[in-house]
Amino acid sequence: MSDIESAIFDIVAQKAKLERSSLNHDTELSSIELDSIDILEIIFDIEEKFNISILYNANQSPGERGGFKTAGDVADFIKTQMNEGAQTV
Amino acid sequence: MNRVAITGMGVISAFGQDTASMCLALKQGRSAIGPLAVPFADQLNVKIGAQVPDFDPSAHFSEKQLSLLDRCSQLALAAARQAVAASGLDFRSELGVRTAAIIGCGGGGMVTIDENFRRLYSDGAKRFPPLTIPKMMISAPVSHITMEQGTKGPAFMVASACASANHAIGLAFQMVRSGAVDAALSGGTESAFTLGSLKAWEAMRIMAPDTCRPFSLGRNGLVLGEGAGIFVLENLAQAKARGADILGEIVGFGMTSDAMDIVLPSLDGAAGAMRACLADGGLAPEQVSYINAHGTGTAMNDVTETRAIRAVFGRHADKLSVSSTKSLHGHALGAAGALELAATLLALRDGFLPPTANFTHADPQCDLDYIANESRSARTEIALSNSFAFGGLNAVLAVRNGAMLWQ
Repeated sequence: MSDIESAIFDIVAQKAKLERSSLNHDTELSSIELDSIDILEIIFDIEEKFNISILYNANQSPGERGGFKTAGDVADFIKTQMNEGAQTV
Repeated sequence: MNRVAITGMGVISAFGQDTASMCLALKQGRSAIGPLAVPFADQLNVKIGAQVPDFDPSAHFSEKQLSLLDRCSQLALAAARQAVAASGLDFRSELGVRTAAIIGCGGGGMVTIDENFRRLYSDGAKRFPPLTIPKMMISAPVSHITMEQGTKGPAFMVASACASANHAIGLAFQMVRSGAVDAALSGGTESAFTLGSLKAWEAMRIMAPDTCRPFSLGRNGLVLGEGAGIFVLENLAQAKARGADILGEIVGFGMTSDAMDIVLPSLDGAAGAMRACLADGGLAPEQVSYINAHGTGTAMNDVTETRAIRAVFGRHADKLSVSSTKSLHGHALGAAGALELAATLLALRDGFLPPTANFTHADPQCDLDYIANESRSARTEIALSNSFAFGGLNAVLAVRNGAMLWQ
């Protein structure tokens, strides 16, 4: 697991108030009671931690959990955004 | 119970500084959304909006006045002057004692707050200008309107985010209807194109980067606007007796609270407010022909609002014309309901219905007639104007075309 992926899971675990070890790529966000606002806050926390700006528009993935099903989906999205040139702010 | 006429209207919007510029743009379906002309554009991710063009404060106010007037107060005062002039009323008379002033605003003196806080936190300022508090307080616009126009009855501001103006106008309507006052100045004002405000909106991740396309497939969020819309509400019998030009009649007002979520919209809350409005006005759903929708252009609002309209209107929903003029004048937050009521009244008066601009493809989840891109000739008697705010505060107004009052 990359540093970035690890950091994302740390933040997701923190947000869900769970032990980091109880979380994996397939953990469903609904099962750990994260909602769409938690997703926004997770993305914000990543931006703050890595001093980057991630393009994310909630309108493009509407739904109760921002269109994301699992913790791995969130991590994959953020990693893709970072690879596609998230801006350092 | 008195009937309630609208006998004056003033608008400062992204279309220009009068009702004529608004009416023309609505008819042409010409959106005022464009690149933001702000000195801090390089700090923004979302660089578009619907700003009031060429508003020169010094053309409207003296230097001494301007030291007291945030931009939201300036816009409100300018719109109020138009409305009062159009009504032909003078509130510096006995009437003024029996006249309310109720104005909606979401954020208050945002420009003043932003400028002064930046000076303090960032520029090393040691003190604020002496009248910063009365300039930034959210109630300032209505105080200035009462001072300038001379109304001495009930006066206050209403803050319910994006429903502020509809709540304000609805309360003014209720007061004139009940006889508590004989007239009211009411509407909304907002001006929040500041760096702090725009960055906070960006952080919500619901802003469209390109344009506002409500109800359309591919819509990707809202676009902020600014402006003010102020109306003169008057006991209809009194208005008729003095031979006033009656723009329209407010016939119903409905409010609900979702009691559900601070940002997500609720079908039940939206539908409940429309139902309450119809019941308040003694209207059958079939009497309504046009709805000026809340229609923010976000993925969630537009589907929820569509379903709410279907829930309230049943089969008649297929005969309704619905549009979101936010696609044309942006989302003016606390002034939104006022700009949208103005848009509705102008369109009814001139026999057309304003379009939903930037509409590209139908979204299967949004299956009403949204008057895509081009205005339409129509003789409309009754229209609704919806406002559904963050935090689940819903307010819906029903109006009758002033030219069809006596049928």
